[in-house]
Amino acid sequence: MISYIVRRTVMLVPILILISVVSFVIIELPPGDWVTYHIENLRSSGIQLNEEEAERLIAMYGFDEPAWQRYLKWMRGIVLKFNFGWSFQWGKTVNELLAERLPLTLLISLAALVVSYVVAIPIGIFSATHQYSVMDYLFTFFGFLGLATPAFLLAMVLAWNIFKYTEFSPLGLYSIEFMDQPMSRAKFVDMLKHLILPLVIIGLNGTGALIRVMRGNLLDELKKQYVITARAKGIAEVRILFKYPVRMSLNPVISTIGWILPGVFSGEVLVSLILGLQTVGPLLLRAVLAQDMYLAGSIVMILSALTVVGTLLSDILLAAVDPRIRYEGAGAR
Amino acid sequence: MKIASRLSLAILLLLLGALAAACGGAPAEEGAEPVAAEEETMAEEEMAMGGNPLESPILWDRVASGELPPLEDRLPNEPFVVGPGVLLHDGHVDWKPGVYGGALRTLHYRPDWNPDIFVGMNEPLLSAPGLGVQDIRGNILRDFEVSNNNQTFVFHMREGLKWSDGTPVTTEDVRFVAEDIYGNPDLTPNFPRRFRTQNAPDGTPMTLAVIDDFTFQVDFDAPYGGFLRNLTIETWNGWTELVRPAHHLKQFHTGYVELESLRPLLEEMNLSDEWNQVFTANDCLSWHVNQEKCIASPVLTPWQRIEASEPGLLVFERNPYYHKVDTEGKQLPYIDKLVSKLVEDVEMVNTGILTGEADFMRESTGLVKIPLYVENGPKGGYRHQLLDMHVDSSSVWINQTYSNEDDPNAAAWREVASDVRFRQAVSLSLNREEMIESLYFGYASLPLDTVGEDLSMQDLDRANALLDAVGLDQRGEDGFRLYPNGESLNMLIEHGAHAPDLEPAAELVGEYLKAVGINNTVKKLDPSLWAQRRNNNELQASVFWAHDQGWDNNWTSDTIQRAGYAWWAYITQPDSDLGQEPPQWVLDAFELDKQRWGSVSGGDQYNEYKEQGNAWHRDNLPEITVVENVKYPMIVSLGMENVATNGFAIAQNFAMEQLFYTNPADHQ
Repeated sequence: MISYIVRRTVMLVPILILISVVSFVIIELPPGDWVTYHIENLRSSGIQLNEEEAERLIAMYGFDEPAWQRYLKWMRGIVLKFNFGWSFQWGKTVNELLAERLPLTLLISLAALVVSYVVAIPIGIFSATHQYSVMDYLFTFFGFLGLATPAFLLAMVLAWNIFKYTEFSPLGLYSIEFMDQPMSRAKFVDMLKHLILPLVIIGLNGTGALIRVMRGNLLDELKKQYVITARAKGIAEVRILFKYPVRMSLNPVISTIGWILPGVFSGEVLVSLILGLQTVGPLLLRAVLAQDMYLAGSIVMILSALTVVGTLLSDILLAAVDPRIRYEGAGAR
Repeated sequence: MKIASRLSLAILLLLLGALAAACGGAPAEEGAEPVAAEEETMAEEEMAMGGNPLESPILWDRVASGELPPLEDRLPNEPFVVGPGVLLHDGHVDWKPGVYGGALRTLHYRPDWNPDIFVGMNEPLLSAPGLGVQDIRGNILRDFEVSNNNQTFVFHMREGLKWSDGTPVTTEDVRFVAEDIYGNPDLTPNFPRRFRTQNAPDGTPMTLAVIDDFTFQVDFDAPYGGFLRNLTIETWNGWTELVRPAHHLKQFHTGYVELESLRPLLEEMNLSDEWNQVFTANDCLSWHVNQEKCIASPVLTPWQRIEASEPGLLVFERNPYYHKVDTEGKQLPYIDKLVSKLVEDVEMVNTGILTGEADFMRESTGLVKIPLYVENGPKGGYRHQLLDMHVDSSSVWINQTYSNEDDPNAAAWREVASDVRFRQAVSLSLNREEMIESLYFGYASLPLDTVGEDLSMQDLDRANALLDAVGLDQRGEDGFRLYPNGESLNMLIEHGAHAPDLEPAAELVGEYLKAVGINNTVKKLDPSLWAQRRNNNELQASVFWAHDQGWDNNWTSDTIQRAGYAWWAYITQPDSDLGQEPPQWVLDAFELDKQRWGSVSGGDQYNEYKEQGNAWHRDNLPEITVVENVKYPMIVSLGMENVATNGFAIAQNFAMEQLFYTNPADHQ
């Protein structure tokens, strides 16, 4: 097991290097760069930069260097000092920017994850054990509805209707009157009110799919011989259910934890954008639009790295949780 | 199974930890409430005790504690006095002295970039009422004397004027800019054009002589009457053109510190020894006031950015050393604080306006949204004020030097487009009255200055006749005109949609041109791509903002980049291989600008040159202006006073320090 983990970890290194190159190249691909974007921005606001001023800016921001040199500098900072570089549009380091946004991002992502597990898993179990009952059909109906409705659309529709009928604007994290005020009970309550909508939308977004997966898996398990045997031996129905079939059917949930990792890090991009939440996702979008290359490159790279690491983690987790996988692995060796 | 349970426990703990960390701040800060309440009662006591009524009560505590010197030591010996007709023209605003307090809330959609705040905070070295060029007087600089046939300028600084950190502003700050920034090739590869004689790219750089701590002299080798205008508001110049906080910036300049002492800052930016990038990252220019780096840098603006409690929020607090007072001697600004929230895009800014989240908004409003503003105004507590727009909204660019390797007809196009009759035909094909009605709701007029009445009115017969005369008389099977060489003409109109009216304007222009047989394709590009294609001389035609005549800058020669980018490159970037030698009428434009810059702004000679510039524009149609004098809806809170009812919207934006709330308690 340990040698397996070590081997997989060593294999990560070339993959991560490749990811870093690809991330940088992706950001460099579109025409223009941050300075041209910046100059256009200034010009469109009425600041008329002469050609010599534009030239000065290009040199002052280091864009007169060839791309490979900038890449090497960027990588050197990351490897030696864990410094992801400078964000031109925000005028501070990428590390600072991420540190500012991660708490809210993690709060929303993880809380939404909990919401989706808490809602979906029991419903999945219920649907499987009460297959073709009225409630099963009802859950199936809403599950498919949830699966088919894009979360951002739901966010837009709900946000507007909440404002229309209650005059409470659910956008952002705080109401405008609490912005930049010291934290108080009223401000905290205000924050909770603003968090409900994103949690419900993001949380329920994954629920539909999870219900279906859980229901399908459990149905398969329930038909297996060992369940029938256990039932024949007179073990209580609930005990049978939770002792083996439910645990077995959780495997797919665990194996997708790896993909959840980058999602948790970036937050739900579109929903965050629409609801005006300052999470990592919108930061990435703005960075890409403005060609703020170190910021965009860093986030793309971190997301890809998290996917790779997450896949490794879920493989290890699966092996840890499911003895069958562990033994098969041992046998193969 | 043991590993499994341990692992799942670890994961559970991690999840809980992250959750706790995320929510952690709240309960602890809740505990802080009583302290805040205590402070409040303290503040109330102080108020009962009273402070200087000529300064904002939020400063009283800091003055009482000795953190700030008293008001008289913070103001310059001769403050700038704001009253009726000073910041805005008489009759443009019903000016009254205001009361202190309140926060102005607004929205922005680009990180650290709120144009309304940048405009509202800018302080040019000199100023004139209503953002104009007539009656130029001191602002950051107190006064000036011009002599030697507009070649010698002596400037007097405001004695006692202080940076926002309390350090005096002296000629050392001017010398530092002229010698250590403009004179340093690492920081300024090319000496700035506005400090060259007659604002010409090849003009001789100024010479600066420091006379004493508060007086300096600038000399040019030829008359440069427009120099004062260039320090006033020309293209958003601010105080940093000549005055920057030397005491702050020297710590980032290798002329004053060893490169090694900048090492930590270089490391932070992942640099090796490019100290000029570190300097730039700390050099707060007048148009940077929204940015992070201006938190630490001393400024001269009415407000200064401070750290905000959450990401994406811009918060600005009053500068206790600001140099303007009102007629009663009260230090400006009246409003204590500016807060701007980052939202996704310009549409979300407008949603924010409708839900009452903006107390002030100029840049992101649209004429097309007026019905919505009116409908939601009473509920959101705001109104809209129609004012003039300072740039003319849109014009058609016909690139007479267009060249693109992929387009075999580029040469044929240049031939046709450089014939003025072609451009006249384009102008005659436009139905401007329809555009004014449908795009600008009647709030715009025909381009009489730069196109003239004759060519502004739609006349399809004349347009067709002119096009036939240019050699476009053959038509293809589809009914559209062919080049004289028999190839089909398909004009590519690419626009960047920088403003909401550009896209519909471009679509309409495309339709009008089809009606006179000019086939075309209208395409919307990402602004960066649009700029890159323009810079490569690959734009065949476009619809973009017109000349900025409201600004009184280089509007004559600036049209050259719209008329033929390769001509522009030939003149402004001699090293570029894009350049094509321009014809005489193009060179005339530069000569006209030079002469206008040489004359004294607002004088008779100046006005004469200005009219000559317009006539040049009408004769040559370097670009085809669609409309002039467009109106602009500006959003203001219902309780806000000293709001202009006339003049440029941007001028009102610029005079933000005199805005006040009749009831500041409602706007905390």
